Amino acid sequence: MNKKPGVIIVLSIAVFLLSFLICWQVKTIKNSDSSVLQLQREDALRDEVLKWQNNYQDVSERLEQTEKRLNEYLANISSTDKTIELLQQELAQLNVVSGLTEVKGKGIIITVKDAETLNPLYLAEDQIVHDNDLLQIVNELRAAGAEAISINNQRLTSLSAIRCVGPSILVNDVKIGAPFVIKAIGNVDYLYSGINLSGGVVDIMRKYGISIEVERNDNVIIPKYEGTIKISQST
Amino acid sequence: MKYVILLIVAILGGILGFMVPEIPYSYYDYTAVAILATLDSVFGGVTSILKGKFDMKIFISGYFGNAIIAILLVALGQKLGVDIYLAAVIVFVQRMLVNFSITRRILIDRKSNNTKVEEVQ
Repeated sequence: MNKKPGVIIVLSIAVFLLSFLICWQVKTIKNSDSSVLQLQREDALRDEVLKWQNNYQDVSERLEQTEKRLNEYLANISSTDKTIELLQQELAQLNVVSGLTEVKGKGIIITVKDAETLNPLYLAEDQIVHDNDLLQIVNELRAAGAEAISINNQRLTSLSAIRCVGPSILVNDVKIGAPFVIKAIGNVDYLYSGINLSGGVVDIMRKYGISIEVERNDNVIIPKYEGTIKISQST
Repeated sequence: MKYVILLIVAILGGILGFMVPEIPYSYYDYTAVAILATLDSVFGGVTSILKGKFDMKIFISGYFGNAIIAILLVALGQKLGVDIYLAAVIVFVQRMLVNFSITRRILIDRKSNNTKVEEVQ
């Protein structure tokens, strides 16, 4: 049936190309598995997120334990030596400033809420609390000599940022929502009058309908900064 | 003898296919359709050999022409956002099945009635 030698040559070339292509494709598919790649990626990312969340919890627990141990060591050492006691005092003070310890004292508590009824005379935007409003209040408090400040129990350190993400506000990279409770420890009179300055930031916000309550409190408790401080560039 | 040659050639092609680097990701639909087109041509060639109507020109032009047209259709489909390669897959597979059934009939006929097939050829 095939007398000409050409037929077998052509057919073998065809078969050669065919098996070459098939094996090529099989190899590629085996290595990339494309059809389910998208789904797999999503699943893998989800797993990754879960894994990191677990990791985060583990690590923060470990951090707490280590800090506890460190405090014990420090307490043991400093009870004997005088110079170390002085250093210890300094460390305590610096910890207050840097926000690494919980602090108590006299101060004020400010509660900031969005306007309850929208006043049609002003822009709706101006009647809800923005990151800028909090920043201005914090700035005012610092100007009045506040020693420690927290917003919704997020301690503000010298490295903290307050910024806007969609409907909520990020403080120390943690999302917080209304009502915003700002606690500050310092000279109560200075803080109170600094905040209630007529024509000051709070006065202006109140004019737009934002509800701001300021109360004096003899026992303000401000938690420590929960995150870790990483210094990598400055020497 | 000729089947041995075909087998050896197929194995050589397979080895070469596993040795070359992988197909770039975006070309992957094209090679799949090209495989089907060549597979279809080979089936068609085998059938026509058995029928005794094998024509070299038709085989070669079909072999490359089908593959090229299928690849162009896939490219067009990707530009238009339509999965045209599905149509190519269906048509090629259908033709392969038809060719296979013809081959099957011819082979069975030949087994049951040797002389008749000899006459046909």
